Amino acid sequence: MTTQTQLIATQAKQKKKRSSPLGKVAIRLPALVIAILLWQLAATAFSTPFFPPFFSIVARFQEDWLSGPATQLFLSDAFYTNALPTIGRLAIGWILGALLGVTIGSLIAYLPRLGAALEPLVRFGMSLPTPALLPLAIAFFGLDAGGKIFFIALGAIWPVIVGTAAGLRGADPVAVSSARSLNLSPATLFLRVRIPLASPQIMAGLRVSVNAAVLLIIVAELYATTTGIGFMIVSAQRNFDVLGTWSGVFLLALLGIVCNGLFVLVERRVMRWQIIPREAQK
Amino acid sequence: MNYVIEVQHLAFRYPNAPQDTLGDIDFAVRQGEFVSVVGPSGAGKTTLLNCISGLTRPTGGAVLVEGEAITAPSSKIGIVFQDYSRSLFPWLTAEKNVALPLRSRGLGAEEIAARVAEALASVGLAGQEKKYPWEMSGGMQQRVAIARALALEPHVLIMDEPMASVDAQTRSDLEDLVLKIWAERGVTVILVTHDIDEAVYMSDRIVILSTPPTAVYHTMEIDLSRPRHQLQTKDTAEFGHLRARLFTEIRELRERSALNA
Repeated sequence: MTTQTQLIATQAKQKKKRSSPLGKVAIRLPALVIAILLWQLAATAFSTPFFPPFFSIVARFQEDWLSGPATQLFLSDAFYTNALPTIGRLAIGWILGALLGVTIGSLIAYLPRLGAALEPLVRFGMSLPTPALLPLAIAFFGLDAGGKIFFIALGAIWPVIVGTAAGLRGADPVAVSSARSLNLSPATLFLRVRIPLASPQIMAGLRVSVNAAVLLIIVAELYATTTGIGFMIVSAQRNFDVLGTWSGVFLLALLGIVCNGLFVLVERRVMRWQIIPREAQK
Repeated sequence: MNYVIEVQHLAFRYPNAPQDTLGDIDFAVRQGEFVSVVGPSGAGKTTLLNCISGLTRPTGGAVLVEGEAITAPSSKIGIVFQDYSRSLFPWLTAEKNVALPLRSRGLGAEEIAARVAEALASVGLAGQEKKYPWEMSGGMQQRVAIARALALEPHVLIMDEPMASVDAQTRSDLEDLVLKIWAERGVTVILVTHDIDEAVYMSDRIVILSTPPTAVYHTMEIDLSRPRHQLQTKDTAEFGHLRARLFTEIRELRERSALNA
C-alpha cells in the first residue's frame, strides 16, 4: 500500500472513530444493564446478608463517598480521609517504581555485563508474588505510608525493567544507525531517540505495572493500616457491615477503571505516532 | 588531486563469517564529484557505506575523509538511508526531525529555525513543516530525510538507494532534486543504486563492485553534459552507449562469478 492510500485510510478511520463512541455504548450497555438487573432481582428474591441488592450498594456508595458539600466537590469526609491516602500512595509508589524501572532497565540494556549479572535477580523478582513480601516491607519500612509506597514500587518495577530493557535492545538497527549518523549528543540520543524507539515495550510494561500497583495497594491496606479504602473494607467487614464492604469494593473497582482509563488516554496521546499509522493499515 | 573521500584497501568480515564481505576496496572521490556505486546484490554496498560513514569499523584498510581517518560518524558526512520509514523519527514532525541534530549540536534557536526552514524549502517542503512522517507520501518523507542531512551542512552526502522505495514518477522527481541540490551546494555525493539508468543519468563516475570478497571491478567515467534532463539526456546516443556498456559490464561480472562459484 502506498503512503497516499494510507493517508486516505487514516482519514477514513478517523471519521469512523468519531462516530464510534455511541456505537460502543450501544454494544456494551445492554449486557451491563442486564447484569445489574439480574443482580438486583436475585438479591431481592433470595435475601442473604452477604449479597445485598445492587441499588442498596449504590445508595450506600453515594452516602459513603459522595455525600460531601459542594466546597469539597461533593466528596465526603470519608473520601478525603480514606480514599485520598490510598490514591496518593498508589500514585507515588507507581511513579517511583516506573522511574526506577526505566532507569534499571536502561542500565541493563546499555551495560550487557550488568544485564547478564542482574538477569537471575530480575527473573526472581518477576516470578516472586509480591504480596508475599508485604511482611518484609513492613518490617523494613514500618506500618506507615513509606512501607506501602515501597511495597507498590517493588511490585510495579519488574514489568517496567523487562519492558525497557527489551525495548532498548530490540530497537530497529536502521533507526539506530540513522540516529548515530546524525551525531546526536548522548543525552539527546537516549532521551529523544532510544527511549521513544523503545516506548511501545516500555508502555506495555507500564500498563502491567499499573494493574499490579492497584492490586498491591489493596493487599497492603487489608493487611495493616489505619486509613485507606482497604482499611475501610476490613473494618466494615469486622463490624458485619456488608453494605459498607461492598461500597468499598465498588470504589476500588472504580479506582481500577479510572487508573486504566487515564493510562489509555495518556498512551493514545504519547503513542499517537505508532497507533495512527498502524490503524490505517488494518 | 583534491580527494574528499579516500577508501584504502578497505576490508570487512562479519564475525564468524567464512570469508570477507568486502575484500579489498580502493577508490577515491574528488571534491564536488557525483559518484555512483553499483554492484550485484550481496556485494556489501550498504556495508561499504557504513564503513565510509563511520557507522561500522572496517576489519582492514582505512577510509580518509578530507585526509583524516574516520573511526566514528562525522559531521562532515550526511547519510540518507533507503528506508525513510525507519530512518525518520515518526514521533517528531518534519521540522523537528530536521531540528533534532541541530539542537543537539547546541546551535541557537534562531539559527536552528533558519536552517530548518532553508533545508525544508530547498527540498520543496515549505508549508509541510508541522506534518508527521506518517502523514506524508513516501517521496515527501525521503525529502525530509534529505533535508535533515542537508541542514547539518555536510561536505559529503552519502545516499543508500534513496529512490528504491518510491514509485517511478516520484523517483525521477527525487533524482532531479538531488542533482539540483548537488549543483547548488557543491556537496560531494556518493550514491548507491541498483538502477543502471539512474547511475548513468546522475553520475560523473560509476564505481562497479564485484561479488564478495568485494573489490572494485571497474570504474566508468560518465561525460554526459550537464545540466542533465530526464528526457533529453536519456534520449541521446551517448546515454544509450553508456547504459549498454554498464549493463554489459555487470552481466560479465555476474557470469564470471557464476563460473567461479
